[in-house]
Amino acid sequence: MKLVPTHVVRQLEETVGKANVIAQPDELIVYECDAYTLERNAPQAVVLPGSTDEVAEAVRICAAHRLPIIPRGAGTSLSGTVLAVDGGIVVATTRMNQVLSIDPRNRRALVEPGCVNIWVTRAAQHHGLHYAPDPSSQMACTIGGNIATNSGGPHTLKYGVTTNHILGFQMVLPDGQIVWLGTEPNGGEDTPGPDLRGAAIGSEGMFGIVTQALLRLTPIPQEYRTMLAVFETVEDASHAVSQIIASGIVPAALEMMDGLIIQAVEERYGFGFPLDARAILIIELDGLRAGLGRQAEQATSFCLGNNAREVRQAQTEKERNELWKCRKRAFGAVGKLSPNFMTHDGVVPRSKLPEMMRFISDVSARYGMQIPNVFHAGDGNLHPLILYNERDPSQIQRAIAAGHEILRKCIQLGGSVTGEHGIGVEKIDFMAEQFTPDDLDAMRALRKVFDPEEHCNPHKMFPGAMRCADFVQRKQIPA
Amino acid sequence: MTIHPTSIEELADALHSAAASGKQISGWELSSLPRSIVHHASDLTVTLTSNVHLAELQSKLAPHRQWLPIDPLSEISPTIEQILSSNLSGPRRYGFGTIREHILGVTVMLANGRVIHSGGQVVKNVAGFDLCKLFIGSRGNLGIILEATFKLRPFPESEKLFACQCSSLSEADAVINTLISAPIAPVILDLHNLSSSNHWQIVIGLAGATEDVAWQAAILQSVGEFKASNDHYLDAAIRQIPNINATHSVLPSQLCQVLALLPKGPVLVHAGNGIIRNGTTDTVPVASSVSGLLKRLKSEFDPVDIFGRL
Ligand SMILES: Cc1cc2nc3c(=O)[nH]c(=O)nc-3n(C[C@H](O)[C@H](O)[C@H](O)COP(=O)(O)OP(=O)(O)OC[C@H]3O[C@@H](n4cnc5c(N)ncnc54)[C@H](O)[C@@H]3O)c2cc1C
Repeated sequence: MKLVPTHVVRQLEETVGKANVIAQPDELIVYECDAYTLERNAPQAVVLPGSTDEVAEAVRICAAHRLPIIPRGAGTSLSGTVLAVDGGIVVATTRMNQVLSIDPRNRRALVEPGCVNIWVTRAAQHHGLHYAPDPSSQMACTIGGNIATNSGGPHTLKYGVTTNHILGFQMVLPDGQIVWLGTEPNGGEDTPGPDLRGAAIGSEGMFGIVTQALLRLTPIPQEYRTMLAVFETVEDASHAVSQIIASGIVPAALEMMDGLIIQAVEERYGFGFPLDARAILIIELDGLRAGLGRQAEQATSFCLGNNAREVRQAQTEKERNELWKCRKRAFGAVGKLSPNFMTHDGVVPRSKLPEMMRFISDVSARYGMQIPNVFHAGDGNLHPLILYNERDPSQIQRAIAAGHEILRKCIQLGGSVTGEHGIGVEKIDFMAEQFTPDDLDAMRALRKVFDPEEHCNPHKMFPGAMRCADFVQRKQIPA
Repeated sequence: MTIHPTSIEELADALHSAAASGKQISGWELSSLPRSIVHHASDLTVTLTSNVHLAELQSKLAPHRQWLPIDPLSEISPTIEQILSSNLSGPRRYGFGTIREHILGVTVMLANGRVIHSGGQVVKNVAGFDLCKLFIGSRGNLGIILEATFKLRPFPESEKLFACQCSSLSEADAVINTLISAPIAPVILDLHNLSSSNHWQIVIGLAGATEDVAWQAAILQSVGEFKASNDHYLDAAIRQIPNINATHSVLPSQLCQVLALLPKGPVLVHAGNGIIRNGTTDTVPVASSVSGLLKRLKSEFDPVDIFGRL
């Protein structure tokens, strides 16, 4: 492991306070990876600034010593995007976690970057408002991390992803300069010139450190209809999804869990899912009470028309919450099935779902690996979880190969290798498959606009990046 | 120099020779390039060339009861390229947002004549940086948009407009505030004064399932004297307001304060979004920090400056 010169540590300590710099090797272990655990490497130090100015000063110190800067929120990324591939200084937003203000009249929230996603909704809900993007990790992940990864979640089908809800943000550029991109806190929503805010959302921490964000709040729907449709085959459920989407209903969420997941979730949380079901759809409609009943009937009839065994409706708010809790914690339940699993998040056009699901089950059979699926079906955003045991090196190799086949198929069907988890270090090799050399050059050019020295979150995204020396497999972090 | 290419190769050649001769390209006409609209109805997406006019797209989508939810104001239907590069929008942005919320992918010819893609054809995609956004509002100064993919929306089953007359700006302000906190979800929330009198009209648009529209219409009656109306005020605005796409953008809650200070004259306002159209535009200078980024953007994407200033 690389060490950081003591005079640099001293400078950082003078900036953020001694208690807010971590440079002891044993304490740095916590920061050696995110929720993607196949590759690990500890950073040289971690700083925990308390303000934008402290972030800027810490960044300037790193720049002066040519040390890589790695922004970090809660570390829940699933693609290794906070990995300190070649050391460097992690700038963690842990202490900058406040909701600064809620403006119900203009439906805006101003928050610090380390603010946890769910806290925004908690602060806004008594005004009848919420922050719509709701990644399954929303109890832990931060707004800064959400902006950097352009996170999605179950309800993005109707409400859109993070970029659709970020009006503007303050960012410390990798040279220490402080800029505000997009709508300013008390400004009008349109800003002149190219949409730099939009171009920086989803840049995986490579353009600078977000230090404040202005979020769009959305009225809480008057009513929900949350339904559970039980199918005998994944294929039938996939057809139901395609038909619902094509019919013109816009569900708030349309999620699928297959048989293996249902069993794992049932065993862990005891919701009452039928254990013999091969697929379940969670269909949530929301909006005004008046029109919901008819839409619910329509959606139900699409399910029944595709051989659903039964379609149940959540009868109480409590039942609805329980159902969502099970869905959002499904990854956690997978620990019951296998010591390790690999999560992919490829996307296909929604009409190609039945074909894609057939392909995944074929891959599973060919490689002799179990691949349960729990995913955002309405968006065509898959989450095949490839189960393996790290103690058996051949299983690791097969899991990786099976995953790659699935991602290649997504590209082939006109989709993408990632719908929400990002490229990070994990999917670098696919960039050249999904994009042309010219496309990649244009992306590199954009990176240079923000970070001419390329020292903010280096060794990510682009083919040819350095890999971790320590590419080892260890115990999976329970998600 | 204005160019009028008939093929992609010709367009690239024109950019190359502009770069070689140090001449700027002041404009282009893409109408003679190949055109196509590929509608994936069951995916609710469309991929089309940028020279297609919005009206042509919408009429192609209509039989499938789908649309691209954008309604820019202009006498002639704008092309996709114009919508993107000038970030054009209209009253329904209150319900559906501006074009950035609908874009999934772009194909662009850069100043060096190379054609690049960003995004893709699926509704969720975070592979690579989001270059799509860069070209929105860039007024053709970073590259020439050739193609785009959008996500579409199903047609609302019903759409109804209602209008309410207010005798003063402060009365209008009060009604708007009440509407914002009412349990309704309008897709249009406009305010206009096209007669230059003291009378202001609030226009509200409700869309969705028939039952939803009816239920919300009933609520409107408790807020003010709303009568069934239509969108003819938009035609009047286009006729009366020169340069209709010049806008001021203000914090929605400060709208009426700002309006009170504007010189008298026809004005159309998207009140829910704080967008004012009165033929003039803000001249707020870009923050100096951002101007550094813009300068670097220009030098990375158009180093010999064939497209002109950002
Ligand atoms: C159980 C589980 C479920 C998940 N479900 C979903 C889901 O439904 N949808 C989804 O999209 N994702 C999901 N994720 C992935 C992850 O939660 C998201 O990517 C999330 O946005 C990461 O936020 P974070 O605060 O943990 O960021 P981190 O993991 O700390 O960082 C992620 C990236 O953001 C950058 N970053 C962090 N903070 C800043 C900042 N202030 N400024 C600039 N860059 C910054 C980092 O450099 C890094 O590139 C899930 C993860 C887990 C473990």
